Amino acid sequence: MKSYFPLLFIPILLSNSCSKMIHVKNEKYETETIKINSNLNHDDKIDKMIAPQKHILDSLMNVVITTSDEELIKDKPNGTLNNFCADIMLQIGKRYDNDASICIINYGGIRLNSIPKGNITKGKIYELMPFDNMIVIQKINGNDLIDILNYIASQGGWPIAGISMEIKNSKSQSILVNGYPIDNNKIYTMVISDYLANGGDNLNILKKIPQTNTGLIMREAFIEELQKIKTIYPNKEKRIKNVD
Amino acid sequence: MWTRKKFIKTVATTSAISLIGGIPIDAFGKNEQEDIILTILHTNDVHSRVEPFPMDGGKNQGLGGVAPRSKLIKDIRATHKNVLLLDAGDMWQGTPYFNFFNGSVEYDLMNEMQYDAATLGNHDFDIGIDGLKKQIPNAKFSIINSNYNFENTVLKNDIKSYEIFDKNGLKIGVFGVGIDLNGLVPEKNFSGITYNNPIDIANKISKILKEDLKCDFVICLSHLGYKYENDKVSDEVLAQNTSNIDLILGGHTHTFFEKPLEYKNKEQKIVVINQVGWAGIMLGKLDFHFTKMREKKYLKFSNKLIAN
Repeated sequence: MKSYFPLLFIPILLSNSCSKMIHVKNEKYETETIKINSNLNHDDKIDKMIAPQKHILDSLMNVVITTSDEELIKDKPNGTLNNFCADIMLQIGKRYDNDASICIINYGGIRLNSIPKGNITKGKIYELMPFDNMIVIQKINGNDLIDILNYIASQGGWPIAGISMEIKNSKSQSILVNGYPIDNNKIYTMVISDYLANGGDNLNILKKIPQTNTGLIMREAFIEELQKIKTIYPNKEKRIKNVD
Repeated sequence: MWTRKKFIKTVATTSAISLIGGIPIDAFGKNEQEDIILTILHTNDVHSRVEPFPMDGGKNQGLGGVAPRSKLIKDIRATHKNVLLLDAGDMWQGTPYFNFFNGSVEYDLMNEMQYDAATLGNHDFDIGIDGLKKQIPNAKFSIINSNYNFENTVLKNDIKSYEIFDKNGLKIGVFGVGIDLNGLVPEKNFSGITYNNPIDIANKISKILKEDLKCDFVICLSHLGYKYENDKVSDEVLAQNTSNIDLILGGHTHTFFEKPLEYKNKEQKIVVINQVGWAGIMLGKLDFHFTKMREKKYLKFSNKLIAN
């Protein structure tokens, strides 16, 4: 599809080392957005070049591991893909540490904007979480957790599990942890990636908190977990509410 | 006034241009046939999207893919003489091609498409400095960054601070700026690299390119991101606080520009910024027309959507 925008007349500054030639002139230019449909040709040489690697990856990655009943969507402040990722990760963490009750994932750590309805392949989970992040457990006090949630509020909301909150003026409020108001002095057991625990996304507060490494690569643990689930039904809870 | 001698000299330095009428009455560019056209093609944040997005009902299904992009680029090369093909970083990470082959596929394909240069995004450090060091010899294009100090790393001889390309007598200076890796990339993946303020560096390098090295056109490959709600340094901030950049090709924020945007620099001159989303869904194309006197004349651009 070709769409032509109206011709625009804009001033362009012409410059040159010779001072005589500096002048402003209206010149036209056109903008064109060409949407290329499925008829677009391939460079056959590229297809040949990638054939050996594609063959290997197809055999490993096109394996269906589960099915989703609906499209899962990543969004702010909430999304079904947000809840899905945080819930699965909390579930994995609980198996490692019985006390695990909350989970936080950075928004940028989820690399797909959606997972379509239907079969989910192993390759899809590679695209969802391509990083070789590990799952770690941290024991965090209520005070520090509030700081983290304030940061999450300032970012417009991240995937969370075991927590609900409101965002007002880019700050968190009305925080509930597993249904109870957050207690500044209580210690919560949190499932999180080593990336965040090591201060990724500028969460420096987490750096000082000791971490127990589960030894599980996030992506691999997800793939294993999802293989146990026949059908995924999205959790539509609104864990984060904007109340501005 | 132009003297015959001066004119001949100008022509000589801008390489062979057919002279119509011999005297440059129309040298200010009414006759388009005499323009030198510089065609900039660019990508950013391709994120290892080697194959088009699969036809699985997803929003981007059928889009992107190197094979259609390469065909498009080769077709453009067949009809455009002076093509520069550039990438603004995050070539890596996002599909299993990267997890399994550590960036070799992406670089091989960029070689085949004849990329001239790329800058480094934060995800180009995802297999650490050592992983990058292993892969760089496979890249036939230049890897350019000007604001990371690599002196204390094994990469110190592998990354260029800038490069000048000669296209039909036009001197095109290209340099690159990257985002602060602290708090973004795991520390172990970039230890030894120190970060310099991109604005200071951009002002310094672009001045050298324009004034000392007499570049006709200066391009900044940026992985800073288009713009932010806070005062974090971005392409917008860069454009407004520098003096010698003509074009910023951006990345990081995965922003799809419908068309390139124009900003005024510190000296009220136009700086063009463009960014083409991510995953190789779009190929940016900008045609800059230069007259015989190497003036920047006007540009014509199109952001091409690549679908399978």
